[in-house]
This record gives sequence, C-alpha cells and structure tokens, in this order.
Amino acid sequence: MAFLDRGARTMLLWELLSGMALTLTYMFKPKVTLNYPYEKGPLSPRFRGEHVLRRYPSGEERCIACKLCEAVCPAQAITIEAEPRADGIRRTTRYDIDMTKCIYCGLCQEACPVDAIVEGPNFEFATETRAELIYTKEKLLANGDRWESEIARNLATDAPYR
Amino acid sequence: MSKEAATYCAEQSRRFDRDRYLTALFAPEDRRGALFALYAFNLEIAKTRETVSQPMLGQIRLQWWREAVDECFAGRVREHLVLRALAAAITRHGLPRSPFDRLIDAREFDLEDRPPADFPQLESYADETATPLILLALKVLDAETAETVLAARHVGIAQAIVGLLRAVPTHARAKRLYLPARLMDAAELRSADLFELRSTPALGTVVGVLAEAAHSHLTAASTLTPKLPAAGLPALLPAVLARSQLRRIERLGGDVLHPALARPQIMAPVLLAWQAFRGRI
Repeated sequence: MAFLDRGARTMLLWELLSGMALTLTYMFKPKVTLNYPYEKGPLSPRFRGEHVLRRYPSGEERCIACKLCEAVCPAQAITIEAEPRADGIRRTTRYDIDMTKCIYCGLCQEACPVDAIVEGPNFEFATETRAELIYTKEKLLANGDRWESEIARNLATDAPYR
Repeated sequence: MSKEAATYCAEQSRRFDRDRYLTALFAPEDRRGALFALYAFNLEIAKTRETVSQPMLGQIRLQWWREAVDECFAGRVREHLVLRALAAAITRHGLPRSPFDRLIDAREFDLEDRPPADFPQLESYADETATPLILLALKVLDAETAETVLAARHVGIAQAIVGLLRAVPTHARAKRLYLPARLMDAAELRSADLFELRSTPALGTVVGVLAEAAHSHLTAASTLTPKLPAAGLPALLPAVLARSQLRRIERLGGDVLHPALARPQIMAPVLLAWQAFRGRI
C-alpha cells in the first residue's frame, strides 16, 4: 500500500504544504536578525572603538599633555605637541591619532591618568578618504562631546573599588 | 580650593565610594571639601588595577600619582581636578606626606594578581590601603590623638576586609583572589568553584574566619569610643557601615556570592545618623 500512500502525498502536494507550514510558523516567532543601521547588537562596556578626548563637566578639556599615551602606544599612532596656553596652563596644541595605524589595543586609555583619552563605543566611522582617518584634536574633542554620556556610563559599570 | 574641583571630588566619591561619601557628610562644612578630595584621591589610585590590563601600565599610573603628590608638596600642582582639590587640602590642613606614599605603595599589591599568602598578609594589605586614609581624615578634622590613631587602624582593617569580602564576586569574575591562600587550602576551597561563582560550604568557612577577624577589630575600636574626641567621629564612622555589612554577611551564612549582598543599604544614612548622634562607632 506504500505505493498508494506515496501517490496520494504527491497528488496533494503534501511536501510543499509542510514546507510552507514551517515557513508560516517562523512568521510568528521573534526575529533573530537585526535591522542593522537602526538597531545595534549589544556591546561590552569595555568595547574599544573610536577614540574620544573627554572634558570635565565644566567644559575644560581633561588632557594635560603628559604624553603617556604617546609613549605607550605600540603602533606609534599618537602625536602630541604641547605648550602653555594664554592662562599659563599646559595643554596640547596638537593631538593627532592616525587611525590607519591604530591597533585598538586600548593601552592609551589605560595609561591616561586623567581619563582623557578613551576608546568609545562607536565602531561606525568609515570614511571615503585616508586623510579623514588622521584625527585631530578638534575631531577627538567633538567625539568626546557626542559620546560622553555613554562613556561615563561604561566607566561606571565595573567599579567596585574599596 | 576652586569650586569646580570640590564639586568634582564630591561627585566622584558620591558615585563610586558611597560609604565614605556618607560618612564625610557628618563632618563640619568647612572640612568636607578636604575629605572629599582625600576620598577622590583614594578612588583614583584604587581603580588602577581595574583600569589596566598589564602590571607595567599600573606601575606607570601609580608612579604618575607618586610624582604628582611629590609636586603637590613642592607647591606645583598638576592639572588634575582631584589634585587641585588635594593640594588645597594639603596646604590648608598641613597634611603629612607619608600616608599618601603608603596608600600608593599598597596598591602595587593589586597589580601582582597573587592572592595574599596568609591572613597576616591580608591584614597588612587592609591596613595599608585603608588606615592611612583615615589618619589623613583625622588630621583634616583636627582629631589626632593617641586613641584615634589606634582606633583608625582597627577601623581601617575591618573596613577593608569587609570591602574585600563584598567584592569577592567582582574579583572572582575577573579571576582575581583576595582570600588568603593558606585559609583557602585549609578549608579546601577551590578557586575554580569561586571563579564559577558556585557557593560552597568551604567559602562560608573562609569568610567566617575573615568576618570574625574584622569583627574583633570593630569591637576593639568600639571599646575605645569613650576616649575618642567627637570631632574625629566622621573619619571613623565607616566602622558603623562595616559592622552592618558584616551582619548581612553573617545572616547569609558567609555566602558572599549571594546577590542579596550587592543590594544597596537603604538604611545606611539613618544608621550613620543614629550612631553619629550617639557619638559611637
């Protein structure tokens, strides 16, 4: 009777229907994909993305031109020049990061005693030309202003200091 | 002290070191700024191990702070908001140099990622990381007497041990251990269990020993209470919070991995106010 059974299944398009039923069940299940540019996957608070230079709440820049990040950078991607400002406080006049050299190891933020340079949560900074990947101080400070709230939250996440 | 630096220090200690922040609120208003500066400085050096991935970078950071404190005492202040507040506190209250060095040197132990060999080593680590801070706070409050210095050591050790017990889950997640190796061996507590956050009876045994030691330090401190000047109380109030945390740990049977321990102490301000009113620690 197997011949009749198989024949009936073929005539009634049974395989096709069971396949479509499976498809239908997935229409009611939660989606596993992300609508990427609008939805983003979870990131670790320690994620090391695009660099930012942070400011104090008063708006004063944190960086004091100690050059520890420049010294520690294994890819030598950071260039700093510094001199006293008009009010006598030493600040950087130039803070460049060559993002094509950077290996995103995070040593710069680990060395920074004032938590000024931080690798933020941004990973979407593709550019059209190489020249745009040479970040200047202005660009880094602007990044800092844009990402400050996320960065402050990430820094606070693992902090059970006693 | 500039207002900006003072606000920053207070905000930092409020966010990251709530226990000490609450106790500082019991100090007279003109001393509070200096206390916040001290506590914010302590935060900056205490976070070294959590910030760095390699011991060398930690050493670089600590050395930076060592030199920065050096320069504070020489009258040159590096452009760090905490240092600006700290330098003001140092000149205003004539703070001594050596407690700062003790605090920074003690943090080098964090970088080694090696558990303390035995209880005396843990005790001396606790002593070095917490006591100098209390001594500096006492100096700010003009309450340095033979008794307060003695009490400072007891309170410091107890506070640091309780702090380490509360931080066991966090440290375990980072595969770090602060429980004395010899005690762990004796109780047959395996580090693998701890790293997987599995609470075992052995953990209760080890925690029990440490809690007992912290408790005896707290008792020793509170027997000194009648001789302590009232002005010094805010510096020693962390003992109150340490005692209530110890009670929580005991109620959980020494299971420091229990999530209940991570919940904030809602009653802490009330408890502190009551004890400050009674003038006891």
